[in-house]
Amino acid sequence: MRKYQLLVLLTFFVPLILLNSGIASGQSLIDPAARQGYYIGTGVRIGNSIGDSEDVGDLGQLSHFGFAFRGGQKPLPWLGLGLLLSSGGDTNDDWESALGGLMLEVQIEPFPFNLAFRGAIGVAGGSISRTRVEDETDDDPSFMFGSNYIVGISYDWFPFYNSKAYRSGGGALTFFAEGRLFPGGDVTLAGGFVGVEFTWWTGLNKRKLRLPVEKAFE
Amino acid sequence: MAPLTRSFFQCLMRLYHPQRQSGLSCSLRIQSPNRAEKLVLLIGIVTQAYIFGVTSAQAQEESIEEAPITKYPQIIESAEAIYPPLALKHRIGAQVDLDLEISETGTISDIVVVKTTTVAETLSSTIAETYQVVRTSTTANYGFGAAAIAAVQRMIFSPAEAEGIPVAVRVPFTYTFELPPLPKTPPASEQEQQGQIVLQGTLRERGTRSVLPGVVITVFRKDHNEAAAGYEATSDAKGQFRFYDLKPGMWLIQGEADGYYPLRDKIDIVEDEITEVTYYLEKGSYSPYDIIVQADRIKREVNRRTLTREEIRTVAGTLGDPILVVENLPGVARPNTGSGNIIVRGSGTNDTRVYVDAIEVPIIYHFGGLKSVLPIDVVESVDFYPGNFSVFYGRGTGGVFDAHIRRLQPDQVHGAVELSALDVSAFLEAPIGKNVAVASGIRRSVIGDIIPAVVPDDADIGVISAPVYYDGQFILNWRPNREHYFRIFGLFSDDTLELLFENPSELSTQLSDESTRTSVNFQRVVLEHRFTPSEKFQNQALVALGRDYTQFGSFGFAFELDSLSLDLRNTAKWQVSEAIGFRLGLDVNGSLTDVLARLPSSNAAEGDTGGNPDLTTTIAASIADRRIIEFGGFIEAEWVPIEWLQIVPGVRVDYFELVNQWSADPRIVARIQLSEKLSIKGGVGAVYQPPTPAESIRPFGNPDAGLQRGIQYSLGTEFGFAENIPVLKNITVDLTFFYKDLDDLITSSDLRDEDGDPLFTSNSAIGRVYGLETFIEHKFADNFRGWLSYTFSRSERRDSPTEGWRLFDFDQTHILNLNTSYSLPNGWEIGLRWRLISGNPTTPSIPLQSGQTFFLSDLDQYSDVPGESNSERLPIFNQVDLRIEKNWIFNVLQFKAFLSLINTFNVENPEGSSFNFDYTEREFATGLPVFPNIGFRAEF
Repeated sequence: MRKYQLLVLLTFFVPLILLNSGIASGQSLIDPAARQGYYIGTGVRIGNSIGDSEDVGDLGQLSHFGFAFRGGQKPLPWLGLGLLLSSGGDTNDDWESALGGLMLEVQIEPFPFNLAFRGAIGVAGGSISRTRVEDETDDDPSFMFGSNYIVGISYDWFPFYNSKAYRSGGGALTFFAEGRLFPGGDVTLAGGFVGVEFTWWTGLNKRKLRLPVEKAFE
Repeated sequence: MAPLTRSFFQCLMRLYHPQRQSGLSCSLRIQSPNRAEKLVLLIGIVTQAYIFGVTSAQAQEESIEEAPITKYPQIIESAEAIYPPLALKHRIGAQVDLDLEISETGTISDIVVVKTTTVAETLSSTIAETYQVVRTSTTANYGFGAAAIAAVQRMIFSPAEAEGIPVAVRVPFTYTFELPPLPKTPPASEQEQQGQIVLQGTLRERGTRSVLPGVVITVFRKDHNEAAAGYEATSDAKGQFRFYDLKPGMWLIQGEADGYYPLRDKIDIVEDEITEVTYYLEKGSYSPYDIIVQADRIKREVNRRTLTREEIRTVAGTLGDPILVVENLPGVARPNTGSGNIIVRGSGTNDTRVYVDAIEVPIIYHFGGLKSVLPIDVVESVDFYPGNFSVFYGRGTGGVFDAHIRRLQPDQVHGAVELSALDVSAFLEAPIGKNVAVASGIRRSVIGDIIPAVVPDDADIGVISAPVYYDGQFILNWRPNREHYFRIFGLFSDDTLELLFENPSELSTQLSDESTRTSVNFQRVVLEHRFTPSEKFQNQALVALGRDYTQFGSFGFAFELDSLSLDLRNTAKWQVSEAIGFRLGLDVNGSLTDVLARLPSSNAAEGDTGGNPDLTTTIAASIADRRIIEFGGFIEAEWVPIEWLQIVPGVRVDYFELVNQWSADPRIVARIQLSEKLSIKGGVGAVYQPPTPAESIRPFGNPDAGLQRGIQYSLGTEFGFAENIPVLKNITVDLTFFYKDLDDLITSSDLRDEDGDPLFTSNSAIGRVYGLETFIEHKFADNFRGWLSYTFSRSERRDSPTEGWRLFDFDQTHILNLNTSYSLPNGWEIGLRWRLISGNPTTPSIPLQSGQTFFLSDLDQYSDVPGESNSERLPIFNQVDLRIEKNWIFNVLQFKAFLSLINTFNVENPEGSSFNFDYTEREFATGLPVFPNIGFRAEF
């Protein structure tokens, strides 16, 4: 049988045979890409929040500044899981607050364009107080604790990535926009933010990548 | 028509024609394909794949004969399958169930593998070592299906007939792979090889260090002036491979195994040297479910549920605890947060027996009910019986928990260290020679150190608890030969809880102390011997020694209990024949107890409506060397008169020295297996339970208190779905109706003795419990496992003949639990638990409802006046828990990080009520807020 005939047979019949024989196959290998492996990132955000207290009512619009540290991995090409440590402060003329949280983060990447939809859920706690001591009352809230929710979208820009070099991973600037909801017992905070982070993607080990022979055994 | 195109369409015609000559194969002769022909071929491939699917379905419909079959296909010429080499090496047999479509001409037109059942040959350790039989703990497909298909395709059948006319039919067909006998001469430990070894290595599995036999290793290279060279070797039973006479220089080495990422490396061969390497292959998935189930446990009980260690770890919201996870099963109500109660089918905590390998333990939870006294590392599985349990268990009218300790069989030293927000633990197991294995574990809480550190000083919290718990375990197995098995198991547990009150008078004006301290600890040592002289008989003897100590002191009250206990159990199992077997046993428990107590005289029991307890009147008692002995004996038969019918009758007789009474518990359960996937089950049985010492020993209880009785009924069905139905094939459904009739229940009483002293308790209450349990389970498949359990339950009590029925304090009409877990690649696992449960009954407050207050001048405080007992309900309990886990696999170590978010959405579920000073305002006391339990675990 000529080589071409063998190729046709394999192309045509092997999938059918495999479907019926139940032969277990080795682990699937994937093509190298930038956004692969573990990720670790840190950055800052700014924005605005609104707040409400069960005891003293509307807290008004507050300016927000915060930073975050996140780390995780992509178990699937379109799914990332990780932890998010977030901290920030919201202030206006009357109130100032500080809130820190630990959250589970999910990143969904439906398209291979380094664009991801992000969500996080977890716990946060912090404090809130009047900006001016003379305005304090006995009803003022002080301690905040509760669940924390974040949804957003991000884009990773890899300025130095070369796809033709069969590389996996790399450093990126991550631009994001997100919204937060903190229904923390007596105090509720909700806000929208934008920010930038530096994210490092470790890439995958070469034994998990589909590589040409000269690259696979480097 | 060009030769290729002609050949292609000939092939297509043969595939579509009902009388095709072969199964899925089709020879295709191509002479000289041109570009157009290649394009036609490509289009044809895509089109053919689609049409094949459509026409196969049509052909299947057309070929199914509706007329009655008068003659079924017969084998004219058989064919022998090629035994899969790896299975032969591992001494694995199999039975492959196929679905064949046989055409009118007797040819095979379609083959589908329905199920493959593998059976591992039982080998002694000596034989296994002699013939180098080493089985890996993976579910690798040995290739039986493919081998069976290949063999069947070579067979020739006569066609089926319907009234003399050949017809196409689809029939089931089983191909059995039987192992040939082991050769008389075992293989030589080292084979003679030609040439000199230059490269030898060992393959191991990354993370577990298990050896990997049967893996093909390839070394290859191409020098500039020479042709490419490549050689193959296969790893042996010890995972070792060797290459001979490789030329010096750099070689590429590659290895591939099913379910593993490939090995790729460069290796430098040096002249006159032997290069030794060890490679660790990483599995694609380290799912906790990668185990071989050797045999199905015979279902003797109607309602036993068993959870294994691997299953317990993955349930969200239970912190990997082997007892907490059972709260998610049908029939189990949710206890108040921190109570540690166990409420099974509408019965109280004292009514359910908790065992560790059939030995009862005094407490099963550490303080707060967040963790049990058994860490998951020492537990093999947990059996839970909501009712209708075997006569092997007794002395309780509720359910039974029995946690089984691991039977050690380590092949090498293993251990684990875990640190979380709740506690820190360590576990180690090791073999000592071939017949002995030891293991030890220890754990200490850290939550008591964390709470004061994270709760601000100015937080509005009235009580700050400082809990500390320890527990430790020791296991030693010794199997000198096949007949005898010895085990020593030791367990200790210590709990200390100190409550600090910022303002104790808020609890009661009668209280002034700012702190209270409680200490509970116990120790158990269990000696076990199993004698198994044959497959038909086994005797198990257990002796357990124990000590319990409890101490409480504050607010002017004190309690100290010190007790020694001895448990003796002997159970003999005798399988007389295939149809009938017996189990006989003795169950003796004795204790010697000292008690010092000064407690309030009020003795609140279940159903009491509260009000203001009188804390100024106390009862003092000093009891020394109080002996309590309980004798029990039982006999049970397992009778299978017909293949599809199983009947298990039994009787248990107990004597209770505490109340000087005998009890006889006849019980029977039965199962009818209507088909492989459908069964009906039912049972009825009597259960008796003695009063607790506090309910029956003076001065705290009534010396005339007697046994409490229950009759348990259940009727249900279990069914699954056919293996060829996608998704549903992995689902089983269990529906069980239950009814429980309770009599002579202990309740609080105003009765007095001859001297006018209060008796506090009497057997004047009765109860009834009925409901439906639903359990829908998706077994682990496609990386997913989960279950949905729903219980409808109604539990009622009547405290005396003159009173009406009321709800049980922990009656929860609707209990819905959803548990799911999903294994993702790269060692990730996510889980979710959702609970939606009716609120507990509560007694309304008249001052709250009417605004009218009641002041007690003698106590100088306002009093609550309760309304009708348990006539209201707290709001619905709704909670979601999430769990995420990441596992890193290193060569000799696995490292795991996990985060459990308990009460993810921070729902403020009411657990009880607290009132203002005059009971005109109420605030719900809520349970646990959102709690992140983050932790790390290292295993080797």
